[in-house]
Amino acid sequence: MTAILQVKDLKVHFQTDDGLVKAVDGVSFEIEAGKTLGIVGESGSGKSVTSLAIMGLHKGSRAAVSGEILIDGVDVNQATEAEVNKLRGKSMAMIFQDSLAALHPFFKVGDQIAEAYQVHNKVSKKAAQQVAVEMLGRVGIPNPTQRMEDFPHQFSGGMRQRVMIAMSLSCNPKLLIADEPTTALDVTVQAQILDLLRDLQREFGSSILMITHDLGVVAEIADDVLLMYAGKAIERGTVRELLKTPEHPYAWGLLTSIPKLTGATDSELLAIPGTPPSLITLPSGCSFSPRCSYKNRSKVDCESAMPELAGVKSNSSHLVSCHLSETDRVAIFKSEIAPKL
Amino acid sequence: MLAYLVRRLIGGATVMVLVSIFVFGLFFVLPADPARLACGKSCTPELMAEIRHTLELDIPLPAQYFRFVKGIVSGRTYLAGSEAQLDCAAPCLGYSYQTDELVTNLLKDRAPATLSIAFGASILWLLIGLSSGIVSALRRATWIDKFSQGAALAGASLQIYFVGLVLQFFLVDKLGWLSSPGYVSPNDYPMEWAQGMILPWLTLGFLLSAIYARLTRAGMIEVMSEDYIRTARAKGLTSRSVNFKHVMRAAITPIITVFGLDLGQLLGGAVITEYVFNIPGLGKLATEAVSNVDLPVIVGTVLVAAVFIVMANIVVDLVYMILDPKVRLA
Ligand SMILES: Nc1ncnc2c1ncn2[C@@H]1O[C@H](COP(=O)(O)OP(=O)(O)OP(=O)(O)O)[C@@H](O)[C@H]1O
Ligand SMILES: [Mg+2]
Repeated sequence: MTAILQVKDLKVHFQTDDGLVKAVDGVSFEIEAGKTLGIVGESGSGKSVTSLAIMGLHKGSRAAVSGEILIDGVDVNQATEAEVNKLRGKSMAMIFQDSLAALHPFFKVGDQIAEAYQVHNKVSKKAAQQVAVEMLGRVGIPNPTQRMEDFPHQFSGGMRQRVMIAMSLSCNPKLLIADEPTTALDVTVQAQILDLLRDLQREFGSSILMITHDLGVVAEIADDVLLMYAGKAIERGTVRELLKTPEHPYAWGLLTSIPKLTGATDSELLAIPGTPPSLITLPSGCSFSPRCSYKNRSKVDCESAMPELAGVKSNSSHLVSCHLSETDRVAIFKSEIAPKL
Repeated sequence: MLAYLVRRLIGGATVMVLVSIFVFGLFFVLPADPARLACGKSCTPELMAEIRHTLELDIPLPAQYFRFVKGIVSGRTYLAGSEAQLDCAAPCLGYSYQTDELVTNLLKDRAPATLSIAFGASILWLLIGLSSGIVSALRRATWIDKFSQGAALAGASLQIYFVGLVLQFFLVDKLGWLSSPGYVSPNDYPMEWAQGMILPWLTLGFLLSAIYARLTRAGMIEVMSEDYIRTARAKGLTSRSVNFKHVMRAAITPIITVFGLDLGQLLGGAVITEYVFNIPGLGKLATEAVSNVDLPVIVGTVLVAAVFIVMANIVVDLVYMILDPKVRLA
């Protein structure tokens, strides 16, 4: 399989008045053609910063970005703004979380979509408008010809997110980055949007980088999952591996904290204790250790160093960053976690 | 939209009525007696009574106001039926005590000079203000930004009379690069008109551009951090399209609003500029009228200024509706 996107040792650091914020600190992953990678992590774990780095949108800001971001044979991080402009929209496109804020309030949605098409296609305004109508129809907006003339605030949240999707897919990008595209929507609309994305992915053959803090979304749409915590990847594997046999205590916490409707009598809501660490003064050693309920079971001092992201013995594609030995993890999972799932 | 316009026009008319009542009231709260002022040096009690009658100051106050308004709407005749009958066609604002001329004629004579100042100065301050604001915003924290910020600060804190006199001293008196400021009709002497106007244009243009430079810079920087600008970049647009299409479109709206209001105010008379450069415009007319306690002229200039400000407000709101789809559809 060919990788559409390769990210190697990505670091994004912000110099702030309070100190150096290591928002993303050495993350690597790749996405294969037509596949969907889900990046999961709680608020502040560095998901958006990662996606903006891929789009090259930290350029011109105070962010210090290092590492390799390879797409279409170009390293986004080394490329000039003009070179990245050739990739944006065409090789990679992005859907943002807050569609109201992400669409220009003063331009008609039809013009905004047509503009996205015209950036990479030398066509007349009229032809681009025609493409926009088709795209709006394709993402399920009724009366697309009339809705072309409307402004973003005249759409409902779900419809507006469809507009964003139409705009991002107008140049048929190889990679679609979706940064929490459904977080602001209610559950039914959320499901519709995910269905739409899946259908479009099949039709257009794009790869998707789906950023979310919702494991339900991941289960629905992703092939592979990258779990982030405090700017680092702490577990990586297929959806099956991560949801059925998670290895990291943080993943256990996330999975067991999903409220269940069935068997409500004995299921308790297990939130992960504590709060995410400050990205300026990270705890020494494993950054999850202050919140980890299992660190005393580790034979290694969890505060000594950040554990390597290493393959689980039985399966080299499933990686985890944890000081617990594999046998301990398996034992804990079997006896304490699996019953709660 | 039409209903809105009608509503705003009614509102504007109401404001005008209130302003007219207020300035009309000036006649009577001021310690000066209009009849005494109009009577002149060789005044006798008989003459004074006659003038009182001529100016219709001997009828009750509300009736005077009513005639005053009626004069504006449909004209007015003083001393009707007598030999000295005076017809004052609508819009009648009465006669100057000082020169006995129709106030409307005075206003008509003086308006072109003010219009000339406003025309050139507003183009200049928009050009200077917008371009230096844009450059500042795009080259933030570079020397060029600091320089233009400094100039804007100077412009905002200096006064017209100071800058005007300094410029005049150097550019006209010392270096002789410019001819003395003054006003001639642009129809008859276009070159001389422009030459006479350069100094007022420069002074007003520089000082007011300071506000626009700061407004533009702040507006653009604020818009640049909006999510939709990030979206525009994510489409692959060049930074030029991002800045000049997406950023400017959002940043220009408040600037146009302020511009309309400034222009409306200026059209009513650039009082200090006209005074400093001795330009016979509406502002100069107003200052002269005030120092001569020429009440009809004071009332006339105040009303004209108020009309411009009220109209500018309405125009600005209409333009705002066109520029901002959210307001338009609300
Ligand atoms: N421009 C910036 N300057 C300084 N710190 C920043 C900047 N942008 C992001 N950060 C910090 O980087 C960290 C990661 O932010 P990011 O937006 O990637 O989180 P996220 O995982 O997307 O969270 P959420 O789920 O809330 O969207 C946060 O702690 C944030 O404060
Ligand atoms: Mg985010």
